[in-house]
Amino acid sequence: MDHNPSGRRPHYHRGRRGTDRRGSDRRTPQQSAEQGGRPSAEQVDVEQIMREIRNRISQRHGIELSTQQIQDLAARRLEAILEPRNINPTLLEQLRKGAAAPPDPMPPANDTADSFADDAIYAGSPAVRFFRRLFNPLLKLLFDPAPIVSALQAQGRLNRAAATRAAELERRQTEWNALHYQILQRLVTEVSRASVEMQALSQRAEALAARVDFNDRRVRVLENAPPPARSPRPQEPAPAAAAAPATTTAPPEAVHTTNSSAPAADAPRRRRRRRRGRRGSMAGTDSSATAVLANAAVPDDVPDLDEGDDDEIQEESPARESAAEPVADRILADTAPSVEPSILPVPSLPEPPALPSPGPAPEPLPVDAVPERNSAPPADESTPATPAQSADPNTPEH
Amino acid sequence: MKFAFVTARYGADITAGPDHACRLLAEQVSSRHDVDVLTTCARNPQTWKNEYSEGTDRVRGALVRRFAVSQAKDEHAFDQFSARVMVGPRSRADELEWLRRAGPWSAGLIDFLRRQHKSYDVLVFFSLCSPVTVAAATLAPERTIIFPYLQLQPALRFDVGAEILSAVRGVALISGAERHLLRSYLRVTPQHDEVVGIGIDPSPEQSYPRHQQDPADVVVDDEAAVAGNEDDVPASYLEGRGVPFRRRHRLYGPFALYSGRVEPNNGCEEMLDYFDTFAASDGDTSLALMGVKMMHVPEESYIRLAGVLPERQRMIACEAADVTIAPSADDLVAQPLLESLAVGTPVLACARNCAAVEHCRRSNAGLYYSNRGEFVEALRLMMTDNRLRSRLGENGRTYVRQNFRWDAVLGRFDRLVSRARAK
Repeated sequence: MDHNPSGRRPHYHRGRRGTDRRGSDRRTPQQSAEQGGRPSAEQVDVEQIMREIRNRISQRHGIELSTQQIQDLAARRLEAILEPRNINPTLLEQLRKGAAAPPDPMPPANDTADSFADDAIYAGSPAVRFFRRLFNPLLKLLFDPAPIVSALQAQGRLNRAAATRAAELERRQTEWNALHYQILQRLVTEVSRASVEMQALSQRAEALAARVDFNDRRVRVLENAPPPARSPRPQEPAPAAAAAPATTTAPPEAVHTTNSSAPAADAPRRRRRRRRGRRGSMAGTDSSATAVLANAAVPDDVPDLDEGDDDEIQEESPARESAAEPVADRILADTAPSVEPSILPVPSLPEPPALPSPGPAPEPLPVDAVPERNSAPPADESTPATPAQSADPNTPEH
Repeated sequence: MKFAFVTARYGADITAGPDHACRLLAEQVSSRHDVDVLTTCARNPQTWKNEYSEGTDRVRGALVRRFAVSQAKDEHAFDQFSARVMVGPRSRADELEWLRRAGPWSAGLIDFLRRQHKSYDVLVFFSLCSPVTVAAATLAPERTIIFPYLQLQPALRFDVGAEILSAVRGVALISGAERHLLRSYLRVTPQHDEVVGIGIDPSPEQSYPRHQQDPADVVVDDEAAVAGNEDDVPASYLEGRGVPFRRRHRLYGPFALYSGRVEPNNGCEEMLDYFDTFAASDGDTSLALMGVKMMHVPEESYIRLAGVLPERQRMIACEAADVTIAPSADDLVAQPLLESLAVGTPVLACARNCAAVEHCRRSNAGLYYSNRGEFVEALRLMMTDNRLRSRLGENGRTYVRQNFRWDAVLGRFDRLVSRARAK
């Protein structure tokens, strides 16, 4: 019976991304046959895989020092901490030896060494011993030597106990010293490891910051470049051709204030407003580098369209803006500019009006002086704003 | 032969620790021998309250004799006493008192063993840190075997543990990692020791409920589906194993599985935290949690709660999973890990669990992690490398088949018993 006649993928497979994700073939007999039973089973070494994983992690973190190198580094730092001028060198050596050596075993208790026998007070040469024993009853008449003997024995016991305690204390102190030295050593090792990681991470952060900065500059350069061609000139070649002479001959102030030219001025104004806002937000960035990159992105024979004065000139004279559109197209198309020098915005152009003071509205331009594509002005563009007004986003538009 | 299995608690709902190992082993041994399980009425190791009814019961073939816990655990007093005993100098009496306070102390159970131990051929004690073990293991050391369940914990420094392990006739180990502790840390050379472990017996053809298998659930390979070659689609229903679990829990993509109680003590917090990092870079993989939920689980789209499933369903879930995660750091039994290996699913285990790491290394069937980076890298490697996963799974099946089938486990246990009983 054919359980899957349509050959469609069952619904529970819809979330999968192909066979490499799920591994549906992992228990299929085909795979076992491909592997020839289990020839590759012996090739898997878990410990090797774990070593590779750890190496990968350490390389990703930028740690290129081996464990031995880190320990050497920690040893040098420990030398700096345990400065011989401040710490007794012999003590330092003892600490090292104590950390390396196993703990000393407890000394065996020796009861007979310091014991005090009952007849010890009679000890001496045989003749002396003879006379002492001879006069011992007389001596005992004068005083009892037994308390003296017991006192000496007690003193001996106390001495032994004290020695044992001292040895035990010394042994414990040695162990504690070794422990402290070990802890200090491992602490310094971990600190060294952490500092190495921190350095690697700080370098990585710097690299990422530089990359972000570079990308930021690149974005700024790309955004400062003129937008791609949006003019319907290819669709309407005749009006564009008709308008071209007008743009070359008409004075800038004449083109500026016509109602029919308002749509043409709308796009540059919006673009310019955006630039101004961005320029304000990028006050803290490296503008010189931006300028360098911008100059690098634009061909040498193309005028710098990103200058504020040029913007104002274009804003003031949409005819020049419309004439500069092909230049922008060529820049984007990375082709050689074929624009005549007379229509390029050059620094020798007439001085634009002052930015903060909106002057009186210029004289309207005749309709036939503007291109055909700008012949449908929007209703709200009857009184176009001056470039200074539109440049400041906080200034209300009239 | 008549066995007495002595453990602190016993029940089908106890799924961790030496008590779990005791139940698994008692159920198997009871099919061959007479087995009396001597235990307490406690269920919760935090309180040792009497929750089971006292008396005799039969649980899955084993006769269970329960005795009441005679001293409830006073957590505060125990902590204070523990701080004093563990830090300062201690005597043997202190150690015994610590074990008695740690519980469960059942005077009835100890009295029963004193009176009736001669009626058993072999006494098998579980957990060295149980006061019952310490009190009764030396009643008949020539017939006693201990599963010490050794873990690196402060109580392992007690001298009384080493004395008992040296006195009894046999020491049975759950994992090979215990032997290292036994020889190197405790410096005990037992008379007879053997790594017994627990057994896993996946019986695919019988354990899988065929009625749940929809014939349309056959896994279809993409290329085969595109080519329309119907002959390449395996007709056996075994090829679609795990599909019901995936369908039931809407796990249509790759997923990792955790099997066990969802609680912080099992390493679940760490696992969820690490998996969150992994999911941030690989949003396609889900994590299915199968077991009792005992902690807060974040409501993430990649986390699926599968609930508590019976053993048969657990095996199917393991088969359905791409990788099984074993985050517990102190589970020497490692039953979920072995179950996963038995069905050919590689595991990602916590590196602090020596038993799990030993299984992974010996079987070459799983990876282990000790930090977040290793978790993410190892899981990513296993989720993306089909070939590696297939090899790991194959190694795991072979490892379990050769070492952890119940007949092999019982063979090792019988061998230890016979060596321990030999004069």
